[in-house]
Amino acid sequence: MTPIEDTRDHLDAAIDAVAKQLTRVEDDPHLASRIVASLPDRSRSLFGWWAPRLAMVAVVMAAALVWATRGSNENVPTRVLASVPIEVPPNLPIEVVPEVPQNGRANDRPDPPQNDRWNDRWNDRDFDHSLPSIADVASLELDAIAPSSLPEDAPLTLVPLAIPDLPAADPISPQ
Amino acid sequence: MNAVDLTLPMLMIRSGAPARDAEAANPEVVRLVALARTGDRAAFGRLIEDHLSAARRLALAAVGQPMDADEAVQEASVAAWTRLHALHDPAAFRGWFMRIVWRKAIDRRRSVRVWLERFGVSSSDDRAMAFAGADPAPDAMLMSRELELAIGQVVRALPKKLRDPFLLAASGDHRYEEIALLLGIPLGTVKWRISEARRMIRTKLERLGHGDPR
Repeated sequence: MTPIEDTRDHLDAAIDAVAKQLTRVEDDPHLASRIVASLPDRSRSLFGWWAPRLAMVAVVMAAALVWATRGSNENVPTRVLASVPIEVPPNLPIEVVPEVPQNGRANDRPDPPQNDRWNDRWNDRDFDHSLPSIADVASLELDAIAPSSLPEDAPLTLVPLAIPDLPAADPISPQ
Repeated sequence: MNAVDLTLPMLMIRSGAPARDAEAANPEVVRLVALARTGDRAAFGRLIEDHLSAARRLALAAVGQPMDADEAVQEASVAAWTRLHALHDPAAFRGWFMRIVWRKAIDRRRSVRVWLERFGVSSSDDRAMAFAGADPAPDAMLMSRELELAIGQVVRALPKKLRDPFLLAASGDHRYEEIALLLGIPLGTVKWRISEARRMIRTKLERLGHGDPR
């Protein structure tokens, strides 16, 4: 055996010895008895083993139930509107009160548009040469469609809404 | 090069332990498992006692500290006691129990590492020193203390993928097939990693001035 091979063998032997030493344990005659003394009760331990699993299953089922319920709630309006006819009770008293603004007159002026370009046009409008105001639309007659006046077996129909012709605009002066 | 006065006989790492198959088919193990399943603590204590040394060496290979290893073994024993009904083949108790011990030891190693990192302690250095500073084995008394410390540090500095199979094989308790089952890797990978670990140890030792520089 050459000196180099001899050195290599010694190094391997040293590695093996230290590696075995790294996993060497001292005898502990009381460790087994300590382990046995620390064992939990079997029935309680069985419950403890299954309890986390049962809890996890319950959580998963609850989440699935919530998910399914949320999905069905989203679909209900669509299904009802598509398939169920609207039934109006014949003797249900309905009183329609037209909305009156707080200043006592109808709001015949539209809100200014929010767009900046349209805001500029709105602020530059000429009230002296603008078109005359449009007459108020005739109030709706709701007596004709009140439930008490409807026939019980006939289909629900609405009388066409009659809107008077709008006044023609005056020709715009050159000024 | 440091002088290395080694007169040890070549102590090659054995890849297996004797009488493992005989133990697996041991009817006494089957009987004790059956008794333990009925709640017999004494029978379970006998089972644990028969495998305690191998289990402690296995855990020590993972965690590196005897106290941590013993706690891992205790946790594994409690887990085995509570899950004994899940053991389908009573004759395979040893391998089943060793896998539980290994998992508990790995869990403890991770938690210890996280704890050390959280408090700013270098886990690789300090725990490696604790390993290398352990009482030397009788076989190692003839090697220089410097070489022994160097080997211990180099082994602890190995990547875990290489260190784990290397130390498991070094413990002499497990065959390569059992190591492959414990680590969940193919048998060929186990052999390659052990060989690679030895090659890396030698290379690093030679760089440190030990052994023969190539």
